[in-house]
Amino acid sequence: MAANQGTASPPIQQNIIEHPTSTGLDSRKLAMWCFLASDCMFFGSLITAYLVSHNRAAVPPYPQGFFDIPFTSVSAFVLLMSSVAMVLALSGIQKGNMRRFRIWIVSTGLLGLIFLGGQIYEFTEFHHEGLGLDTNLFGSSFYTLTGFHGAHVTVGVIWLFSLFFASFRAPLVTKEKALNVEIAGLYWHFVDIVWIIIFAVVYLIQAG
Amino acid sequence: MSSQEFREVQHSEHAHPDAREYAMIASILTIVTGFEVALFFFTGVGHSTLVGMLMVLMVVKFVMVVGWYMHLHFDHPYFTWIFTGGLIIAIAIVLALATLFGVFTGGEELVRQLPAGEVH
Repeated sequence: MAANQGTASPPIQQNIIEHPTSTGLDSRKLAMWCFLASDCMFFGSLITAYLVSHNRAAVPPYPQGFFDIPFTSVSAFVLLMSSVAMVLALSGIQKGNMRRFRIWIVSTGLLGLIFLGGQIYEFTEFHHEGLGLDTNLFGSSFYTLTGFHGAHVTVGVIWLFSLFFASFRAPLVTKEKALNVEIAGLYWHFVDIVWIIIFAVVYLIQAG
Repeated sequence: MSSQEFREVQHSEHAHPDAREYAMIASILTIVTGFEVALFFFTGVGHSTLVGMLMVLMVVKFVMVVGWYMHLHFDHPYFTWIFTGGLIIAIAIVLALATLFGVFTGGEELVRQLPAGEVH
């Protein structure tokens, strides 16, 4: 209405950038941290379900000696390196270096894909060795826990490649909007720390 | 909060480490992971000792990723409180249910002794 009357109205873009909040913190970043806190509880419940159930299997296979630790160690290493690539991508976008951002964000996504490929291979091998989703409590709890983690990784990979392609459309991913990349990075690092716990608790401790 | 204060808070949130520091953290994470795997294959330590050491190494990796890669160490304390709150509840859930179902006392062995077919 004001514009119709000829008075100057503030540009829409300015409102988006400033948008002060009562805490001084960006609401999207705050929301992501709240989501990650709730996801801690989600994965905490799944890990507990595994801890409670895996040794209650009355029929084989049992978890002891079942896992291929060297293979899973490589997967864990790949996911750790993807976190390094993610922070380098964020560093690139924050400095306005789009080439560096694109190289590292694609590297992160590819490392995520390698991890997912490894998980699919592992699941296939386990299935051939007689461990199905409904074989026993060990299989049910293991596939549920690692499957949900894999689903999180899949969402993350899609998100990362979306950012990569969006970076070719100037207004979507820029130095000024580096927070979009930072939020995706928070999610990706969370996926990494969940695997740090799963690798130690499920693979190394429980299978030892 | 004024726009100027808002910008200052946002600026203070972004005092992140440089690429060299990220690479150094990556090296430490790699070494710790390698140590974890070496511990697993090293049979000279008891199971309780192995569990204790693996838990400590796991926490070290967790703190490094959350603190440096997720920038919680550099960001506003609100984020730390929110995430730590969820984490504490999650740990409480794990400990409470694990205790309730006898994970620490070997209660699962009793179930395994049941005839096959009663429990899958």
